[in-house]
Amino acid sequence: MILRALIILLSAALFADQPAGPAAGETRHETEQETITKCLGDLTLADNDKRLRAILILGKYKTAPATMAVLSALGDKHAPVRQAALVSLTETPVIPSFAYNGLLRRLMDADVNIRRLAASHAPTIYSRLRRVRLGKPLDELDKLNDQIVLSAFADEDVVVRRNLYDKFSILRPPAGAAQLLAGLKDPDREIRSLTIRNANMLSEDAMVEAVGPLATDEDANIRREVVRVLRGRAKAKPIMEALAEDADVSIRAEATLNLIMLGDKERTAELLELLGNPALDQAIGIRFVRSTVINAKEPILSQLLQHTRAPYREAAVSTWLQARGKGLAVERLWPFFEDHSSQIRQRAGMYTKGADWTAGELEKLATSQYSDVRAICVRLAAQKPPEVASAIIEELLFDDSDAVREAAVQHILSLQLADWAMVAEDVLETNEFNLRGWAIGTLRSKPKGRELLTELQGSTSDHALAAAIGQALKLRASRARSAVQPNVRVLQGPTTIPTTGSTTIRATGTSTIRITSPAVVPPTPQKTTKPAGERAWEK
Amino acid sequence: MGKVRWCVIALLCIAVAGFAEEEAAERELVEIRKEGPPEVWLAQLVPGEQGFRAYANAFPTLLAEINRVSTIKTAPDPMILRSFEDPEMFKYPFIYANFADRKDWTFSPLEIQNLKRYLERGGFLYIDAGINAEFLRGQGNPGQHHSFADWSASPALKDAFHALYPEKEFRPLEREHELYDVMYPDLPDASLLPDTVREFVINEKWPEATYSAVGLKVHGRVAVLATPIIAMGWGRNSMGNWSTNIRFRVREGTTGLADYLETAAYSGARYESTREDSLKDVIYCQKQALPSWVNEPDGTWRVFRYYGSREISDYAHVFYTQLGVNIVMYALLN
Repeated sequence: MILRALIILLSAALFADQPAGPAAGETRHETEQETITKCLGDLTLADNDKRLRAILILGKYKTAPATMAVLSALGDKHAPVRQAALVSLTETPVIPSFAYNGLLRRLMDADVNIRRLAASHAPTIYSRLRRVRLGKPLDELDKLNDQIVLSAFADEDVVVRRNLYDKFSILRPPAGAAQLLAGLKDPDREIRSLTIRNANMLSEDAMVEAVGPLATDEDANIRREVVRVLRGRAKAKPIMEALAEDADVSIRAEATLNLIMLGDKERTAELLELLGNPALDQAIGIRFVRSTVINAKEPILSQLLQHTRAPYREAAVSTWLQARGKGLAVERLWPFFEDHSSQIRQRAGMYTKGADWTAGELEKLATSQYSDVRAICVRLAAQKPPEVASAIIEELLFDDSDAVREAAVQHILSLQLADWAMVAEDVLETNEFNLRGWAIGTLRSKPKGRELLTELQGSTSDHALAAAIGQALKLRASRARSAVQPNVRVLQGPTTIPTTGSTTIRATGTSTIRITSPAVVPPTPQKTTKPAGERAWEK
Repeated sequence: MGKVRWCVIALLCIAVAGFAEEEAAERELVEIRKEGPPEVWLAQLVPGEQGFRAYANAFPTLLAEINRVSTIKTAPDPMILRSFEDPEMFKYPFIYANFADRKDWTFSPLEIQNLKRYLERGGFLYIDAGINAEFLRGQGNPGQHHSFADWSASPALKDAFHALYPEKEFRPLEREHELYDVMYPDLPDASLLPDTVREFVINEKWPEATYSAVGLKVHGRVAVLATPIIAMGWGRNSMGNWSTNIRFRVREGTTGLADYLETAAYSGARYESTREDSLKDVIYCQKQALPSWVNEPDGTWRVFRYYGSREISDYAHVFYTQLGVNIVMYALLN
């Protein structure tokens, strides 16, 4: 108390002779010294409100006198003043080191709100103090700090204890093992849970011994934490065997999985059965599937790859394809393309390299009910000779799916298949900007494409299109790869367009753009202009 | 004998009813469990080839939370849009954008065209950190660390959307707006907060779980929403712990504060901030420090206090997540 008064008076004396600053704007604002001096004077008053006001304001000045006064207010008799001082000193992420000891004392404050706030900052403060004293003999202050921290672990308020256990690994109190053991027996569930997570700070024997009893905790979340922290510990096998009989299916599954990892392979069938339980935590099931499927042999492999629950089937197929998917035969991949999970179909689509797809198989893929399979079919067909590719891809040019039509257009233009010029004209006249941009980019890189673009640029009434083409054509020819090395593919025969009245090209949002095709399209493979009225676009 | 028979029948009925309830509960559990492909894909605006975005794990964490607490089945990761020129945007009913991720909010002609189509056909654009108080604007990533309750969209946003809708402007969302009630109409339990903080949060900061927000209506529907940053409260790391540590800015007053603060020295900036009622707060800062005190329109002077503790951070995370869920759910349901 005397020390505090001395600091305040000394700080006030420091500013006594300082001149007042100039007025600023309409209201005359004091100099920093004036404001601080006024507040320091208030700190010596008996009025609680005035002392609180002084600390609230002093906390905003980072000069030494103001900060020292705030520090001394940590010991004020009025709790709101103490709290205001604590908040001021911890306002910035970097707490001033001279405040460490004072802030740590607040762990013993009579006010619970202050103890809670102090406990939130204590781990950082204490770890820094510990670092400073590293290698030095402990002095009385160090011992007092240790004592304060240890007693705070036994605070009657659960939030104070939680805040300390939450950052236990940073705090690392002296005799930490005892605190961990106490935390494992704490009546508060969250503290027990937080402590288990830090239990690996104990030696393996001590950890298994300390955590083991919690395997029968009434709270399932605690038992789940036990399973996790003991994962991979051979000494915990008996505990894990007990948990493999747990009432909670997820705990049972995770314990069983741990036992399998420890070599108890005959439990695999047990876990396979648990996969069918809808209450099982999916993450555990997926972990089991991923760890099992790579080396699984029939019939377990089939069970996993054809599991009725999609997340497990997806995990199984993805993992298995990743490990074994190179050069798979078509017949091995085929079932995946018929799966109702798009993830599986698309994953299978990534492993088609090496499989020899016949034209018949591609045609079958092209009639798949799934649009992503038809899009894969476009990609596979594009790798075939032009005559095979054209027949299949042109068919998909009028697909119901945007993605398939886009893929078909892209491949027709880039490979210059069939009547690509006519397709290009159609695409460039749509207001589907993504496709249009892509088409311009593709055509720009081909000599014939550039010719077509130039011609269209001159004839179109769409200014935006003309501008986009102009911009694309201005790009340096060296960037246009195929302009240097022209594509050798030859245009094929006439495009076969369905004879029905109209076909939807693309639907976006609520707008639909349709192409209305004539009953017969004249065979004009090299056509670059469009007879008026042949096709009409409607929006 | 008759009474005994009726008792047995009654007991049987109770038992059957009990089984039926259990079955219903089990069936409900099975129905909520989501399998197969996602039903809703949401998008995020991430301009630039580097793919950098502030709080990268925030939006995916929010999507996981929506999957967990609602029957909506969203894809676990958002689809990325580089700009509003991308026609892919029409496939997604909700686009999340962090204001700071895009350096220049001037829309190209194609973006204007696309955005108008998107918003007029039911799309929803949420611009996080689209409200950033004046004192935050000089920074590289404006408004990323301060959810300052300014009730006015950032000037850059106002200009950008003026090009779309010259006749419309962002307006503060009323506290009674249904967006705040979609899924979480109440604040989380505030009992663990320090008294001063709790009182301010419940009565002034987030009354009835509302938040400072401005909206731009298209066809009578809020189609563009901007708020101060809330994504900082969504992210969890791979261990399931919150990724950030959030502090609260609280206004505190005491007797006679005006007598001192009216003339108190300040070394930093002085700036104005728009309140919900469009009156102005005058904020005073110390040099290289957070805003220090405020003069409110009714003449009250209060000091900004910055509280940091585990329970405060946890509380903020829960609130921001609930608010995020409310925003997405509102967007999908309206």
